[in-house]
Amino acid sequence: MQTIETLLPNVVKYWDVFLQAIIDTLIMVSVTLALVIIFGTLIGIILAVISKGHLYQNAILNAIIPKIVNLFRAIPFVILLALLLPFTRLIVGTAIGVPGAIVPMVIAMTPFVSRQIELTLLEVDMGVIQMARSMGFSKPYIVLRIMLSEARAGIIRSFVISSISIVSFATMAGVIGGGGIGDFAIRYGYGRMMTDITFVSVIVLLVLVFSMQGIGNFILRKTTH
Amino acid sequence: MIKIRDIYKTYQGGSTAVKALRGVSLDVAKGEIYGVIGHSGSGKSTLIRCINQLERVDSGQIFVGGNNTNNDITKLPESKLRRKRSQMGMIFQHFNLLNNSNVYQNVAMPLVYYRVNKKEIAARVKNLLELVGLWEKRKAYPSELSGGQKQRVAIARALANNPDILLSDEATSALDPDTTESILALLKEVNQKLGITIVIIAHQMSVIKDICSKVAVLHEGIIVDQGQTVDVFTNPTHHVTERFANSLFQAERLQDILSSGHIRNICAAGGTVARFLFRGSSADEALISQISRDFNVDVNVIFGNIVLFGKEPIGHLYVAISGSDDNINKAVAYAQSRGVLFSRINTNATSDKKASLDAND
Ligand SMILES: Nc1ncnc2c1ncn2[C@@H]1O[C@H](COP(=O)(O)OP(=O)(O)OP(=O)(O)O)[C@@H](O)[C@H]1O
Ligand SMILES: [Mg+2]
Repeated sequence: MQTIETLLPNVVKYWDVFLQAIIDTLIMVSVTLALVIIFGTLIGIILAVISKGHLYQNAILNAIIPKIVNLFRAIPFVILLALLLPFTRLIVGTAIGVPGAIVPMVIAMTPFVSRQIELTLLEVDMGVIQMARSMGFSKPYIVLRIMLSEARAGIIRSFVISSISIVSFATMAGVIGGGGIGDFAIRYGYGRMMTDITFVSVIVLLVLVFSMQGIGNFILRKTTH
Repeated sequence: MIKIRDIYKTYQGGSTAVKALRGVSLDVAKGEIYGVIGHSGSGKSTLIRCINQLERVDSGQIFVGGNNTNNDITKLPESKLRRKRSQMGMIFQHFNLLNNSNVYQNVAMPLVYYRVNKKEIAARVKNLLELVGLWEKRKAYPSELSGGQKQRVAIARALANNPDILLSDEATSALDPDTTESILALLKEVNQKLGITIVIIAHQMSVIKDICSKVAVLHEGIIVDQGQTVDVFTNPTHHVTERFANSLFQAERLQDILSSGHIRNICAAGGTVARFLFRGSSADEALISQISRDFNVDVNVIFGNIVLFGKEPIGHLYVAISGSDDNINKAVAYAQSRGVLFSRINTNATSDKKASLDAND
């Protein structure tokens, strides 16, 4: 206890704030990830099946939706944060704090994830889809039960990659009032030059990233062949 | 069982349009194994995919399982079409198994979709996997199977719904000759045991001659020859059919032999090079020695072989006949009267290594 106090005096002193920051980050990351998985998968499926030669091919939608997705992908996150302020206020009632950070994060991450989901879904062999159609399966069943299942390795991998990006976004969002570890590290570690806080914050973030990667790989091993 | 009437199919590809099928008509009787052969791009896959309407036709009719209009699957709406498709199994060149499902789950897949109860699924899958000889491998994943085993799983899966018809699109094209043979034997067994009508698409003659009782030759979207397999390839009417027949009888080897000095001498002395095709009973007679005895001609066997069409042997013999013109003609007439197909080979062109068959009847 004595050594910890001498090595990391500020971490011990501001332990309560630090703990709250960790909890905030965990909430931001997990809620964002959950929403991104839902919206990303949904839009990813739509992007895949409306493409040329696919189950619901549609030239008009295929000319519009990918362009919108790309547009959002092209805007840097920090700019998006500012741009979305009014929208965020409209949806969650505030533009700061944990809820205020989640909205722009979801909007920033969803296009990335949906593109990745689209790619992995398009990798599912058209032959397999033909086979399912030749058995008289309905199209929704083919999408939900066959394509998603066959593409699950790629889908899980894209969730892992995006969860890591979300940690980094959550850290950035903290800087402009989102709270969490990023905010804590900037205000105390950087602002008051408490190096031990910066150091421990980085460690906590690394542990977070690595454990998410570990969980992802575990799920991957359990579900694929 | 399947009645195809004058179907047309054009693929619209940007600026160019590909006419894949241009007026195809075909009749497949119940319990038959019907082959469709053609070169790459001739429209075979398009044709078979029209039969289960994976590809919609531009015009024409396809009756499946009856002649009245509600059996015309080109007119069915999607929901009714799906029902109809479940009565037609399909197998593919690349097997199309689900990689994340094991053998058992792959075969059970259509039964799960059609909400068959668990006990019945278990019984049916066991039956099917025993039929294809893979019950021991039920827990294996496709990545752990050989090509032949994968195709067996695919066949079991295609049969899961008790279909009346099995459609096979190049099912053996990715397999080695031995495996091909065993898969063909399995298809034959399925046809005989379960009475399932099979339509087989192939570009290899071996597949067609081994198990198809009838065949259609497809060329640039048109059927150029069709009928009993033996008839079609012993008496081709179109050059594409002839080329398939020649590959079967290894006729290309004839060219080298015809240009040999010995044969040239015979021809120079007024002899004739001809092809005899023996079918059925005519194969049992000692025809060659008989005509040389009775008509005073010398018959010199150049080259020959026997090809099995299913169980029927077809003997194929190239001979050089020498003697007087009169005697040769009499000998030929006699051979033909005994049911031997005869054709004279034009040897004038042998110098530039081209011999063509002169149909003669
Ligand atoms: N989806 C498609 N879009 C455009 N053109 C197509 C399509 N499918 C096939 N074609 C064209 O139609 C023609 C017939 O194709 P098909 O696949 O039926 O030939 P095939 O006889 O099965 O050939 P292979 O032996 O190579 O499989 C070809 O010229 C092909 O390029
Ligand atoms: Mg093909």
